[in-house]
Amino acid sequence: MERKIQLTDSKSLLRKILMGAGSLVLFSASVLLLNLDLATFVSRAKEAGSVLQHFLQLDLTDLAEIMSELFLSVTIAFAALIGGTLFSLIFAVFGAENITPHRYLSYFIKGFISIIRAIPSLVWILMIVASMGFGTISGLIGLIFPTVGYLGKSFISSIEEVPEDVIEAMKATGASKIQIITEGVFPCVSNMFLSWIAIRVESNVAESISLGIVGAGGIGTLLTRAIGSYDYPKISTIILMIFVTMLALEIVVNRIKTVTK
Amino acid sequence: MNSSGHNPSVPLQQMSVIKRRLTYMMVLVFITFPFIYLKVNPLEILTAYPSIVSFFGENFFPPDFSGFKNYVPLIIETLLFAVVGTYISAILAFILGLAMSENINPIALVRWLVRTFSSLVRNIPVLVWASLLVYIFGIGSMVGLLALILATLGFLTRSYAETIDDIADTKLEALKANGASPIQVIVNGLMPEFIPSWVNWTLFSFEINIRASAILGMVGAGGIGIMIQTNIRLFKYQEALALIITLVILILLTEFAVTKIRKAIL
Amino acid sequence: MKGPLLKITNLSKRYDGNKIALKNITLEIQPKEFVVIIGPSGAGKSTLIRCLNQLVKPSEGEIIFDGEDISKAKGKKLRQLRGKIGMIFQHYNLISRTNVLKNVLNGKLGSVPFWVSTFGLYSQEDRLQAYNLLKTVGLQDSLYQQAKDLSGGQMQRVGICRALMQEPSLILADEPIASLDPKSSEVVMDYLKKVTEERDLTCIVNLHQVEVAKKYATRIIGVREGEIVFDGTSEELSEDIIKNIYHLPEKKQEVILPVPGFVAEGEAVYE
Repeated sequence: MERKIQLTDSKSLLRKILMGAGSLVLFSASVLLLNLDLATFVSRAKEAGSVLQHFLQLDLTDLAEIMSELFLSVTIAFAALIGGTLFSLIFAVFGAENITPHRYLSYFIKGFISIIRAIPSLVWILMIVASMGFGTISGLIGLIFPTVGYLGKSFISSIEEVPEDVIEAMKATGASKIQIITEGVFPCVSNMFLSWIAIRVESNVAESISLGIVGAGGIGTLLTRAIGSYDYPKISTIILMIFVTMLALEIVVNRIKTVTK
Repeated sequence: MNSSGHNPSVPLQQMSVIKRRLTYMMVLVFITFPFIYLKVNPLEILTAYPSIVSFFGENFFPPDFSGFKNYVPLIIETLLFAVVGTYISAILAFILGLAMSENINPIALVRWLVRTFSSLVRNIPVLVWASLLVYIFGIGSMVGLLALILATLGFLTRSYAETIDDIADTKLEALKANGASPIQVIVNGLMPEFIPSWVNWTLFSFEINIRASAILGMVGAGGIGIMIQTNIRLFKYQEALALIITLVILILLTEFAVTKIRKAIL
Repeated sequence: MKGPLLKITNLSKRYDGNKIALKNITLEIQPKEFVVIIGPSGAGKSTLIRCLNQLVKPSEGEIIFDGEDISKAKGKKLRQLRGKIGMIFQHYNLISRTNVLKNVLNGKLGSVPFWVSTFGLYSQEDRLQAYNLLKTVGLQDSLYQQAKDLSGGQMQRVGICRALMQEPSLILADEPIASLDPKSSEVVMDYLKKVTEERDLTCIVNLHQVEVAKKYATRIIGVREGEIVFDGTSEELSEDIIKNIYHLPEKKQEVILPVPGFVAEGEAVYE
């Protein structure tokens, strides 16, 4: 062996260099184009320390109100989850390519769902509020859209992963279309569906809290009001309660995920 | 237990019938309770859709793209925010992920601190973070960026730490047995193994960031969201729809691009 | 070299929850021995071999390797000692997204500073050595293939090259052929035997196939429930002894039998 032994062949070396350089250029170009107001931010950050100090206290006098608003947000999230699950099931049965009555119906439903998904939940809320006014029910309906966007897509892909021979075997026994779905497909996917629903719980509650911030009721609205009135202890208390709720949900959901695996 | 001479499977089955009935009841309560508490008739939801659709048809259509030129900078800004936010949170999350991994970081206190931080960031909704940050630092692009970093930092840190632990459990043992130093184990063992999942998670978080970047504007943190909100508040529904359509196209395009990149790299 | 290469005294290992994996193992390994450890799964073979290079920290006992107590070594000293012990794994443990050559060079990690490994500044001698090692196992044409694209047998050969790259005096192999088909198993074991003889290396191999152990070992150690129950040559390993190694003691078998009326007592024994 006379020639030098390279550590990597030139092709993958070139690829690495190109990718490294490319990502570096993309990052620096984006930073430069963004015009970040770093100077202002730093000068404000210096004052932020004193503001942060105000947050280091809790105010438990309004705890009952906070808890009931929080409960309202969580309930809206669950109601939307239930409604969304129902719609998603219907979409899934007609939208999954292996059991759909018609191929084009499946394409249509999939396209519809991907458009629903592409619109952020808060934009949905804004549109629903525009047509129905503020209120629990518009929050609930608004939240059903992103739920269907997520669950519909997940349900469909789960059903499409059911092996073709399961469906074939059911057909061979002379089962009707509905029997194939209820006896053949659903038993295969029910655990996966449960775990999709469980995963969605967290996002639904987070979005339900957020929709309050744009004015649709619940704990978010309370938080916006507390921020508006410079009520530091109340802000801290609300955020702490949100955190505790979300953490509890996360733990429960992880438990369900491991059980349904 | 066997004294009465029963077949032991009989009581077992009865148990499961009771259990099943209880589960059904619990599920039923679970499903009906939210609607009772909210005093919402589920049928009301169904009947609301036709009126929503007709409201849309009358007010949002046709979309008004006449002001499109004015949105272009906003769209670019939204994209740029997502790019920069994704980069920074991917790098920060990698460092935090290392610090949170049991196999890499021996100091339990630091691990605990990082885990708590990650859980705090992840479990408080982005919009809450954003409105807090706007409150503390005032409106500005840095605040928007910071909120965007927080949007994915928490879950990325946790995912990275889990992936790192998975790799460390199996692959890195060999390098330790070679006598490699901790830095060598990270650079020569962990990094090459981690890069595919890094790319994967980072692309995933880019998709999330595009959406987040689009809504952060609603609390004053820049991007296209503020225009959508303003237009709806001013009853300029047709302009709002034009913006929403633009946003949908932007999001679908990024999804498409991300899938392509994922296929090319992995 | 005079005296044993490896001297293990009263080695014990308890995992959390007090599960005893190793009980009072005392053992001497002489240079150039090809030792095969056999025993049922869960007997503690893997724990024993991992204690030798401290991938598993023993609960008690002393391990003198090459005149130094490795069980008390820490940090740099431990890494230096580990550098003299090559290890081969059941699942190969290659870095799958790194090419074959770099995987072999990873064997040098214990003896080069981190900037050398980080920026790939290995000397030409090291590279040549890695190349030659790969040539002996017939992988000289796969230098730049990613490890994940190799077959199991090829991966294990790379794994052996990596261990040899360390220029070790002792090689530990933990079930090196358990994930391979019979043909690849033979290639791998033949090669392992050949290089250890050529280089005067000492080798300790965990295996669960008795026939393979008999074919290659100069010395066989039988482990059952964390204890050494046999230590001798292939010839001395009789059918009865094999049964004794692989079967549970009489007493416990009785407990497992579902004899009505004795079940309660049996449970008490288990407690």
